Amino acid sequence: MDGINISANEAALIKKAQGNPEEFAPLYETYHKPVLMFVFKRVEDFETASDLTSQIFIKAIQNINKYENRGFAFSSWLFRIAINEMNMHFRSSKSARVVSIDSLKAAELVSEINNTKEDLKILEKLLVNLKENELQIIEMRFFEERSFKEIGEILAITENNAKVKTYRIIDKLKTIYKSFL
Amino acid sequence: MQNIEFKYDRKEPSDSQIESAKNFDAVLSKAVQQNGFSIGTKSFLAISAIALVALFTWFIFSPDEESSKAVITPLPGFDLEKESYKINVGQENKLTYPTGSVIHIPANAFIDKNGNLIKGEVEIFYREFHNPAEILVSGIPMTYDTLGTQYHFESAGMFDISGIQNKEPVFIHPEKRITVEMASRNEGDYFNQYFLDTVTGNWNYSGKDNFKKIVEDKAAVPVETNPSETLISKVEKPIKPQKEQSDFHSFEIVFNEEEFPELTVYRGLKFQVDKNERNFTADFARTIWENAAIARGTKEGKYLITLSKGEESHSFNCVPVVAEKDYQAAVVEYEKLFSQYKDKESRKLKKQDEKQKLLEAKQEKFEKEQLERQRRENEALKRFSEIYETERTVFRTFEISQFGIWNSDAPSLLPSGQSILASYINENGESIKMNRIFLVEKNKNALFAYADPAKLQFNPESDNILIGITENNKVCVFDQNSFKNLKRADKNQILRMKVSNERTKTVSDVIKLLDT
Repeated sequence: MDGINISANEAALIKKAQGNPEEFAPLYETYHKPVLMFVFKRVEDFETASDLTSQIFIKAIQNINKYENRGFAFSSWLFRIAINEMNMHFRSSKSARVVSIDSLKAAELVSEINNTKEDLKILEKLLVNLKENELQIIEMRFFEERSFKEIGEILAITENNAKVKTYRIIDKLKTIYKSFL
Repeated sequence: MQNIEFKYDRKEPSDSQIESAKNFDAVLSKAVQQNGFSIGTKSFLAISAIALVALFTWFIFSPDEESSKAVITPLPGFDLEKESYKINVGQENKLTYPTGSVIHIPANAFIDKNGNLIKGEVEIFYREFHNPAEILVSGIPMTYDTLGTQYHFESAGMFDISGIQNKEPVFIHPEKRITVEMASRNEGDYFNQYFLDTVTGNWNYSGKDNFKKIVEDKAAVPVETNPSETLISKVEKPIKPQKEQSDFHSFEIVFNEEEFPELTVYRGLKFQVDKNERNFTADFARTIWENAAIARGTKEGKYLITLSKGEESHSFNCVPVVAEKDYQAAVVEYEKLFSQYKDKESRKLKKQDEKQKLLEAKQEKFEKEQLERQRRENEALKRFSEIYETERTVFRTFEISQFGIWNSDAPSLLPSGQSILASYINENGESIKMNRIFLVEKNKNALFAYADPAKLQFNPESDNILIGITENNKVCVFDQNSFKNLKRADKNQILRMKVSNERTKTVSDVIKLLDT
């Protein structure tokens, strides 16, 4: 799902929510599913995803006054909170960080790395070598098909930086792949 | 490398599943309720009563929020007094606070706002906060934001330290540190140290807390061993000369005088075979030997001579002797030497004795200082106990580089387990409106303030009490038993509060309420 630029209507909703947390309801309605799905792909099960999503929106409501409209999608701000909350969850609960792989989309990533159609299992061996922020970029770019612009907004970096980081990660995976040969 | 699990082509949750996970009301409720503070302390009751007395006045004299800074004193007239100490900065200073805390200030520790070293007299101000009452009155924020999460501080104690000279603030020299040994009632080892940035209102993490218990085992004194064995070098006792006897064989042997200085004093010295020696035969005297060696014998005044030639060698005890003609002169020399030896020995023994006495005096002084230290610490403990009604305490040590507010804290989350929507009535069943409501966890000595008196969350397993302040500034209480009788299943609860009859004026009035 692409980030949604803030419409005038949404900007008005955000402003209302900043004055009164009860006015956050429409934003909750709009973004509950995208946030839940974003989290679900990274955690073990639906129940965990649901609990974390609630926590994310609690944080969003508590910090809505810190949000400023700088041309970034509101969803990107929510996803940023989501990444922080998930990181804390993984640290505190020691539960596994899940990487949900769509076979079709993953095949493209594999061919990007080694120019062949390879068993997807090689991908696991490669991805375990990535840091969390690198893994996020791979997931968002290849498995969720987000634009560099949106990736940049979510990770609070520029679009160009998101592009550069993505290609560096691919290079890193290529290097690791060669070491297996 | 993190723990990663790969899942392929997962089935996405259905729309109905997603819909069932939505609950904005619950999210909103938690978002509003997670907005209090907690403090872990001992001896809670009297102290929280003080806090509440302070709070009453707060709601009468509440400052304008828009002009508030990071630390504001909410209660004019209730601000905690600071201890004041005037010190001469040219020397080390050690200050003691009524709780027993000690502040160590090195010499020349301060500079002015221009970075110039301060001389002369400086006035140091110091105060501590150990319980909910003091912390509430102080206005010091007790929340800590990190990684997008707001935590509440459980405090093992805070202090506020500053200094002035001629009404101008002074600053700690960048190459110096002031050591604060803060007496604390909490013996937990899970606390960290923080410094309050009064501009942003944020706490800055300063490091892991360290503490020591007040009553320590007496440290072993590194007592020096008896120096008599080490200090006094071997005093060469002169050998009493003996007259050569014709019945025994004797030898003239060239020896290393540096090795046997005691033998150099006698002219014409020879080595005579000892009368008890059985290993010597007359043939040895007739043999031309290749080598002769001397060694000090096992008995005083005896020497072991070893004669050798090729593979053959013989050793036998000898005594140093002089010929009769040289004997008188040797005796005179001996007496002179012996007298010198006695003087030397006497001087060394005297020195040894003096050293021993010094050591004993040092040991005695050390033991006295230890006892005195222990006495002072026990007094501090007693003083601290009298103020804070506790029997055990520790010192938490801070090495501070700047004046301000320092804290020994552990971030924690609010209690949870049950949420209710509360409305309040008095004992007559009449509806009452709350200005503020506080949750007390008696078993943990913790105090939480809720932003919205209507929306409460708490841990139903804890020993809870609610303390409220009505819109008429009266104190009211929802006691422990009443809490236990709340039905878990009911989200909406009507809480029957015990309201004070008179406007609470004293701490003891509030304590009585809490005890009921």
